[in-house]
Amino acid sequence: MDHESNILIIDDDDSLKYIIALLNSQGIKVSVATNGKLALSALYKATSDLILLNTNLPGTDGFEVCRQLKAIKMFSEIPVILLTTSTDPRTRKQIFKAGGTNYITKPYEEAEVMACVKSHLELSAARKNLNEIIDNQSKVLDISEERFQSLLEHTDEGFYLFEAHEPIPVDTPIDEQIQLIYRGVFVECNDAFAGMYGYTKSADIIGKTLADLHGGTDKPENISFLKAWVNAKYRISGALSFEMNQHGKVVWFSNNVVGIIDDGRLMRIWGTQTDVSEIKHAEDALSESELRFKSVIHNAVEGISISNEAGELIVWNTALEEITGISAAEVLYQNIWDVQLRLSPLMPQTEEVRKGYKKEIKKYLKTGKSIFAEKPLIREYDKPDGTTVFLKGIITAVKTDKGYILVSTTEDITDRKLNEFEIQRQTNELKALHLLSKDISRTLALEEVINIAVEGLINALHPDLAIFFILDNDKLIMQGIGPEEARLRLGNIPEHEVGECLCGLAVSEGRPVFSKDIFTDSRCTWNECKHGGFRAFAALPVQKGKDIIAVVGLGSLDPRDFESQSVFIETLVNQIALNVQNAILHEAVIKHAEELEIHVKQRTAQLQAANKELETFTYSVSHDLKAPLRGIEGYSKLLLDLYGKNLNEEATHFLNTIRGSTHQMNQLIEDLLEYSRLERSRMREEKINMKELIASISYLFSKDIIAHNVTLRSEIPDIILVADSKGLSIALRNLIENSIKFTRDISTPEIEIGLEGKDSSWVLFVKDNGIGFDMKYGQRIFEIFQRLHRAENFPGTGIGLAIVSKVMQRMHGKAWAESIPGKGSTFYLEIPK
Amino acid sequence: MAPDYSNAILLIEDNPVDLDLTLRAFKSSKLTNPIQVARDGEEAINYIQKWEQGEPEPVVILLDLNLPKVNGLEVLQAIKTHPEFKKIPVVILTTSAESSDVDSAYRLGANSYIVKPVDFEKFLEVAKQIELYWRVLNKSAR
Repeated sequence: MDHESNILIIDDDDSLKYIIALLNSQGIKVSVATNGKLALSALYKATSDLILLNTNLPGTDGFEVCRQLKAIKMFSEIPVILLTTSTDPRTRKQIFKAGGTNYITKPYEEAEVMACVKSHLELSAARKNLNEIIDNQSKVLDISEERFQSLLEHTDEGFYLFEAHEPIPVDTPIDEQIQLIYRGVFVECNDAFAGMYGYTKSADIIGKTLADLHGGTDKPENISFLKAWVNAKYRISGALSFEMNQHGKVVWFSNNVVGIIDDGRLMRIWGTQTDVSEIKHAEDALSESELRFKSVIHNAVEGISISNEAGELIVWNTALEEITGISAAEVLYQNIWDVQLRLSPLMPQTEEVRKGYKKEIKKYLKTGKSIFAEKPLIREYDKPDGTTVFLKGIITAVKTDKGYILVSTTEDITDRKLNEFEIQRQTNELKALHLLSKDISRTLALEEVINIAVEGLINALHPDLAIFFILDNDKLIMQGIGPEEARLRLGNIPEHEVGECLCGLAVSEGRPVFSKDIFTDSRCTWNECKHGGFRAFAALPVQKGKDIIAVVGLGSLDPRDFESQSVFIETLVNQIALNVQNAILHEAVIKHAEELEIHVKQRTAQLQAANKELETFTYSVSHDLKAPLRGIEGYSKLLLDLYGKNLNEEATHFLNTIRGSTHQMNQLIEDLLEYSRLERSRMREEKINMKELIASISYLFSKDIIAHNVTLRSEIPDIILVADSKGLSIALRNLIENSIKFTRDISTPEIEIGLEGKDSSWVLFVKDNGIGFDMKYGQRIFEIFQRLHRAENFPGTGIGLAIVSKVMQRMHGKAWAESIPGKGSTFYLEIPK
Repeated sequence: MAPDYSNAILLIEDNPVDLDLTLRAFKSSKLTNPIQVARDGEEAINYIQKWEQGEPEPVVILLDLNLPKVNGLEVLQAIKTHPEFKKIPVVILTTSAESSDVDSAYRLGANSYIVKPVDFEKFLEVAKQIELYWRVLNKSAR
């Protein structure tokens, strides 16, 4: 003990005298007071280190004295040990209530009293020591606080300490966090800070909540600043904000705000801020163009973001918020590399990639050179609302005196991209359709057409199953399936009835049936496809006009919406329908042709037999009819020759008439035979010298020509042509014979024979100046047994021109006539070259 | 007394009218040869056998094609394939003007082909032609 201890004993008897002596012997100074009053005056004279106080005092009792002592500040620290005879626990309670430090019960054990006194004295000494140290420290603290306070009071920078209303876990949803922050209270700040909000003293602000200071919890400018701060992990510096002060004036601040996080909870916030409104306003006033620039940025259709030289985003315009679905508050003051990575969901979101981005962008910020430089980056990006967009962005570095800032422009090119995809899709569809129609048109065989159709559908739509049914009497019969794997999956496909399962339904409903999931589709009544693992299905009727001739089925193992492609699928099926229809028609035609061939063969055989019969018949006719005719002729001639003298004139006339009729009949039979011969005999083509042919035929008529005084002219070129010589002779003979016959009554009969060459034929003509005929009979005269004149005037069989016509028909030529009644006729024979 | 058939003409004809008219036509011409008649193909073949047995063969044969039993072309073939009698001239005298008949006849060795005319005058002319033919033949034979 480094100083002398004083003990004050307040007691009215001397039961302690032995102890006093003991204490004295140990160098402890003991004063004694017999009541409370005396004790107080003694203490005022010299303070004590320890007080021993008897509870049982005359007048004011020990408990009361203790209370009075403790009420006096300068004595309140002195430990008081009460001495009592009571062992009642209530007494102990009373002791501590009165402010007693400890107690000793009577009768006293000296050792006990001594130990207690000693320990309390030591305690008291230690406390005194400690208080001294604290006093010294406090003085030092006071000085530094004074300095700090003075700094705070004299700086223009606003300073504050803000205590959260209750610790806010950092994983609380951000909107909730901000509402909780609004409830926190400013516990300390300087006058400068108060001044920034239109107050004069810090006391005006201390105790206020953030909500009070901001005039509500719903100011968007404040909320977005707070969000940015939260998202920047509660730590931002040099961040620009603006707030409305209590006079409604916009104030711009440059902020440093640091949140103190303890055990994952935001406890309090330290902050400093500078009022930059004047700079701001000066800037605004100075640079109208910059204002315009800012307005342009914020109103731009393009998304624009700007990062400062440190790579922190300081601009994130409205368009960009819309394009990315990310608000400015979420990303402002964050590092541009983190945001860039976030905008590239197709990049692996790993620490490694993040580091790569960071390194590259840091380089960009430093040097203005990067792989990002001036090169548009097109990326697929999923917005927070789940929609996928295509973004095109360029990051440009702009030099400042501190380095480079990065200006990034972003454009939503989703529509353009989707258009591109759409055009690509349409082009692919057209290609597939073209390929299908090209391939499928190569054949008319039904089986091949179906195989090509199945293949074409697989190429065009890439389904996991393409199946083709032909509709036959209300039954669907499988005729084609692909790819091979689908065939294995499905196994045997039994016949479907119309109306059964999806394929049958396509027939009964007469329209395509689509199912996204056949497992949940009650219309899919068969299990083959389900067992095969198919999920989505489309069944389309193949139509020929209004009739359904087949059904095409498409299946997918994965969920698929075939209906979304219905137009394309139906176009493909229509093309297939056309070719299937053609193939079916073709098969029918082939079958029909085969049947016809058999018919023709049968008919030809019948005809040949009939022809043979006819030939025999004509032959017989010629032979048998002529024999009796010869009899009539011969004997009538003999009658005239041998007995003519005995017959009168009338009888002779009769006989001559009989003979005339006989001749006419003979001619008729001859002509008929010739006509029938033309029909049945084979034509023989040979080289003909036309000049010679006509001369020889004319020669046959020389007798008649002379008899009738006919002028015959023929100017025939010296040509040789290949034709049916015999037929031509017969035709010419008939025509010349006719001309002689019909010029009989003309005084100067003239006949002209000529030959003219045409492009693809020779035209032979026989022209006369005979009686002619009416052109309305122009065609009829070539028909068999057609006569225009009475037999007694111009005898004839009516077969001659029919023979001419037949001859020309046989050589694929033509016979026709032109005439003017009374002037003459011209008969033409056209011989193909 | 049996007629002398050493210079005979054999007429093979089934039709009685034609036969009569032919004979009359011959009679009215200067043809004086004896005339033998066969009324069908079979009889004609029988004549060949008689010649083989030594009876004198005719100098000319007039052959109708449309004959009962054995037809004219067969008769023609029998004569023209006979080693000895194929030299006898055969004149086809028929109603048929069919080229097939004409062709067949010449192919089988017929010496001439005459279509029977209906006109009796023409018939007479035919008879004259045959007579002429016969004379030419005789002359060359001598």
